[in-house]
Amino acid sequence: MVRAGGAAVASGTDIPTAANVALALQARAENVLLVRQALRGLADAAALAELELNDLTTAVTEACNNVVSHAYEGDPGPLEVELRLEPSEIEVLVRDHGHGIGRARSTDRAAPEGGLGVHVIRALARCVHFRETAGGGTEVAMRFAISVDPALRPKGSFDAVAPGTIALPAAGETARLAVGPPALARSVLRRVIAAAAMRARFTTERIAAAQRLSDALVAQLSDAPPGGRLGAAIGVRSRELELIVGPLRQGSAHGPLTSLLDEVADSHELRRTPSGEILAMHLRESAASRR
Amino acid sequence: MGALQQLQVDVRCTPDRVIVALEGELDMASAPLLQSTLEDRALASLPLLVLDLGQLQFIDSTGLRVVLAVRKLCAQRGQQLAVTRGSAQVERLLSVTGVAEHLRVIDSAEQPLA
Repeated sequence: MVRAGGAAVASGTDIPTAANVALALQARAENVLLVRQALRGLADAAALAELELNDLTTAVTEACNNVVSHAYEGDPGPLEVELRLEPSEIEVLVRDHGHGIGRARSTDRAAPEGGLGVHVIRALARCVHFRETAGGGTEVAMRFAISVDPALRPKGSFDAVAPGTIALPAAGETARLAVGPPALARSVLRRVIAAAAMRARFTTERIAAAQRLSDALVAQLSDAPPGGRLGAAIGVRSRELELIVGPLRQGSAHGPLTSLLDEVADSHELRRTPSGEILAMHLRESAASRR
Repeated sequence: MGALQQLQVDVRCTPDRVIVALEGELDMASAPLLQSTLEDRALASLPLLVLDLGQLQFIDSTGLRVVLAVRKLCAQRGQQLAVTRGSAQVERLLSVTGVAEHLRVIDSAEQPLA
């Protein structure tokens, strides 16, 4: 029986933002790697140069580190990241909903940690803006120059939706993400799922199986509005992974995905929504523990 | 067969040096592992400590601070420190922060020193 956890990830009100990739994670040090994985997935699809990706992952890591270290003063809280691919730039937003007061900011010299991280961001990004969000949190906007061969840029359209509407992770969920268009969704989701499976201590074979499942799910993305954008929630526990993915084409779980689900997932549960099917899957780390 | 951890730290000794080889990603989550490895007093027993970054794919400022802390620790206990070159990302961060200027860089972990 699948514990599907939290609210549906891919219902109409949860699908977020005009970003190509929107991530919401628990603001914990080990989750920053998942952000880097999403960046690497984006780099795969857009064929970014290695040096461009390096600067991107470094600067974004520093911004995420600042949230983990300072935003919530030891309490849990969300880390939000948005990536927008433009013809010759990528914009990255890193946001928290923390207290603001008393935490290290760009001008706070008393906090050497924040100082060094911000120095690195300013050295690597073309431009950087800090702003306070409503409610006292902080948003860092960074832009990086990239050269993307237009022929390689992910094709496909998706609706621009008002920003900032991604649902925050529920307790027990490690991450939520939304990715579009489908070409990006494929390479981003498989990277993030592989890292999540690795953290859940999956065997190499099971990590590969999880990636195959990821690819198959993306291939079944619904065309209905807000089509072209995949929503996913990932929960990592020791030796277990929960995945909730949608919206998928109606009938895909009982059709094209059936045999792969039987092979890879220990259990799955289907929810039908107006924009497509949402599949909740439970994977264990070793095939030997199944059946 | 298990999956790789985020950071692997391997310690080995030769007659004149302790080599601490890193593989994977050194960031806020994995820095404590390196820090505690480096604080082990057994690592102070030889004249030279080498941080082998050859297989290090990623480092952030947290990782950098651990490197700087070990530099200070080595100086305090009269031990030499050298680092090997890392990936392009590692070299870039060392350069952009100016830390590279404060480190002795060698081409390989076992390279004889003058």
